[in-house]
Amino acid sequence: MKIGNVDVKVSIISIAVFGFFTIFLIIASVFSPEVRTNLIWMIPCLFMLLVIPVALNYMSRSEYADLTPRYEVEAKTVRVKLINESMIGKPVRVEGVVERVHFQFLNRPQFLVADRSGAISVKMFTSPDEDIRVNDVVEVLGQVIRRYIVTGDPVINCVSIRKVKKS
Amino acid sequence: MSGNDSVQAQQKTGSSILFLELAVPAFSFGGALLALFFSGAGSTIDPRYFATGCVISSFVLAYLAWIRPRKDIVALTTPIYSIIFFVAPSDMAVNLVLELLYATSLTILLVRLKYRFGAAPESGIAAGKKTLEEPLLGYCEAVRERVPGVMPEAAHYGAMAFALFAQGDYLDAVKASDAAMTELAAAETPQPVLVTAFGIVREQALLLEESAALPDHFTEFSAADSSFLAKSLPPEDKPHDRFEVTLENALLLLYAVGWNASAGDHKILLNGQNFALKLTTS
Repeated sequence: MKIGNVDVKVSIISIAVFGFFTIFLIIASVFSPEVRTNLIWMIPCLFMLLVIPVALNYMSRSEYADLTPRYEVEAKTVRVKLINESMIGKPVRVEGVVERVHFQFLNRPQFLVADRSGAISVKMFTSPDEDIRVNDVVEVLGQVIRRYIVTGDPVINCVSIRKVKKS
Repeated sequence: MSGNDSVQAQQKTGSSILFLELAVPAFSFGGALLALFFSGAGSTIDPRYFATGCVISSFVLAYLAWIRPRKDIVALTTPIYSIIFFVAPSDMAVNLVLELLYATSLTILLVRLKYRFGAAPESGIAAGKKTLEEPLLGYCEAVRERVPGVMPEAAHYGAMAFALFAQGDYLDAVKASDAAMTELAAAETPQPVLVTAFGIVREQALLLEESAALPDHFTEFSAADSSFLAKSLPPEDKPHDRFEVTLENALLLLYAVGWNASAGDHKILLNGQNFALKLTTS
């Protein structure tokens, strides 16, 4: 679904929640006259279950889209092995192969991207522009952060991940 | 800090960690056993007081999880559960069974922490006494013997070049390398291996600053320098690997020289220790 220039993606979880409560509401309204009298506000609430995730995804994706040109200018291409705790907060560009993908269905994907020198976790807090799969060769733009914000090993907070070429 | 001091500090902190690991089952089961003893003796003391052992054990376990490089979120959250179970007012009765189950759980979590989340860094416990870890310490000691009489100014620039490179401030690392090479050129005793190391860091920092690809030709250590290097070079038919290992050797040599001859930079170098260890061991 496109809103303006932003391609909004709703997670499967949000759709499942919407579907579950839709069915729940239909069944409840069939059997309970009291529920039927309250449908006037229940149906808008039901749609809010879909509208809120769409709005959040739109906001995060449009913000990431605004950030990407800045990172393209500022980020330096580094090898994974050179990323360390002293680089926390630095914008970086990494090129490598996607070895693992987690949580893509939640719109909070985590990738393990490896180059010749090592592998690093790449966390994204919104859905990527492209469908990224294992063995894709990608370019990652992002900021070095700690895995658990204040502690943990360095990972990349991804602003943009895109395929360089199809494997 | 000499190597002997480092070893002593590590032995001391290592025994402290062992003590803390033993404290987890000791406090948790100890509290439960005391509760059993007093209830057997007909005492009317509330068993909640003896659950203090479980609460203390939870905090100790969380600390042991905290000082590890890989964090175990389950062990880290045990203090919250101990407060919910034993401190916060609730309808749930605190009794001997709950304490024993909780103590068993903590002990299982401790074993899991030790086997799945690696050893606690021995230097992590002694604030302000952090020391170099092996194999980095061994390499620094080897460089101390093989590269004697390094000028403190050059060593300081070595530490700065390493730290700035680690931070990703590549242009500043270039400036530090330039300053070091000027100092070394004016030195009475020539130290060509250091000049080469600064030259490599300078060259590769510039390439990184420009996000440039692997060049056709790059500065390398000579065959005569191999005894100063932390890692052996890959064969010439693997230029990518050779390029990377050349930089790692140069950075590690500057780190070692900075550590050995510029005591004022120890704090900076200790902050970059994890990066240096990563370069040494990977």
